[in-house]
Amino acid sequence: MSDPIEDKILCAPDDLEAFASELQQAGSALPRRVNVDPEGVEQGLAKLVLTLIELLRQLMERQALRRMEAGSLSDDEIERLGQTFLKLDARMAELKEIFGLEDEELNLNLGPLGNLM
Amino acid sequence: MIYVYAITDRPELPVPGGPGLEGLGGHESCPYPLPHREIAAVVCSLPMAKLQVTEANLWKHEAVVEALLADRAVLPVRFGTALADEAAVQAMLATRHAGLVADLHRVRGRVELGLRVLWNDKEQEQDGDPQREAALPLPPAITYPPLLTHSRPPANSGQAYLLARLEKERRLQVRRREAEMLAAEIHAPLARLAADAVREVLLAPRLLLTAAYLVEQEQVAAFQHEVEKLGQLDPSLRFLCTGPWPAYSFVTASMKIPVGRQEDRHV
Repeated sequence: MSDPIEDKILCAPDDLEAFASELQQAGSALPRRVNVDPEGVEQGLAKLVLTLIELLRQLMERQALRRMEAGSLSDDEIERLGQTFLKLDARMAELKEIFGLEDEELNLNLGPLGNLM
Repeated sequence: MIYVYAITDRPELPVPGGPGLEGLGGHESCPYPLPHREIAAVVCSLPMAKLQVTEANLWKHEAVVEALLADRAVLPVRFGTALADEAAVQAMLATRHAGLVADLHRVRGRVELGLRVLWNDKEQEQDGDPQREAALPLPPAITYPPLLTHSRPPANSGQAYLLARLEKERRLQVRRREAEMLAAEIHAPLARLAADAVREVLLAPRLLLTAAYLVEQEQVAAFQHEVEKLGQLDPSLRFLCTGPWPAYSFVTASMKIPVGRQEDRHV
């Protein structure tokens, strides 16, 4: 029996690989289920928690950018906010490395609002 | 437990059988119609443990649903949907009857075609198509807070960090707008050939458009032709068109099993 998916392709480029990797990314937002194997549970939970932290961090950062654009922050305030976000960014990078997570894995698709990142 | 494949009209028709159309539980559990007034659920009985998410099982589900398409209107049910017993399925058909009938009417004689379009990720390529970029309405210039304009902040400072973020945000906005415009250009001629359509732009950075179209069976060839035509317009875009599928993307919420109860029925 031929591969059933072959019959379903009406029009496709030569390299389907590119689609496969993008679709994987599009589908890997929040983990549907946390892996409860002893080895996997830590990473599964870390991914869930870090995704939420990343969401909050980005929302706060965007809020700061908006206020900065509107000119409602003093230089001092911008510097302090920037330092805070800079440190948070560095700390997130450390945590991602510890749990072996990539940026894309912490990306949330917010539907009509677009991707988080 | 009772596994549900699809909701159909013409409850009097037998469910096609034969090789490749066995139930998910194996040969002893063939799919059969469970009628309610002028509609039916096509189901099979299945021990919980047999319902496993494998590629082979997905295709088994699909084969049964597609065989039904030959002689009736079909609302495909998502793979993995099962209810406790026949009475629960009957109750679901009864409570959602009006919505199901309306949905069946909408998909009758129509199939779903899927489309995915990839574009070049300019974030990684930097030098994009200058013509297209020039044609874009640019967002208003960034208005930096006054003090920053005449003293460049030292790298590593908080100000430098936020300014860099601001630039990035602007670039993303431009890109998003560009994607929306391009996706609309591709979508419009295809949507004209369809009774209904759904679409998402930039589900992933390179995934420009993800769309599904509800198309009359006789229009499939014309649709395919249009996709091929669009595919030749811009060599940097890559089109993947699949189908015909049962109308998975065009079943309204009336089909869905209440969320709280769904969890313990899914495996």
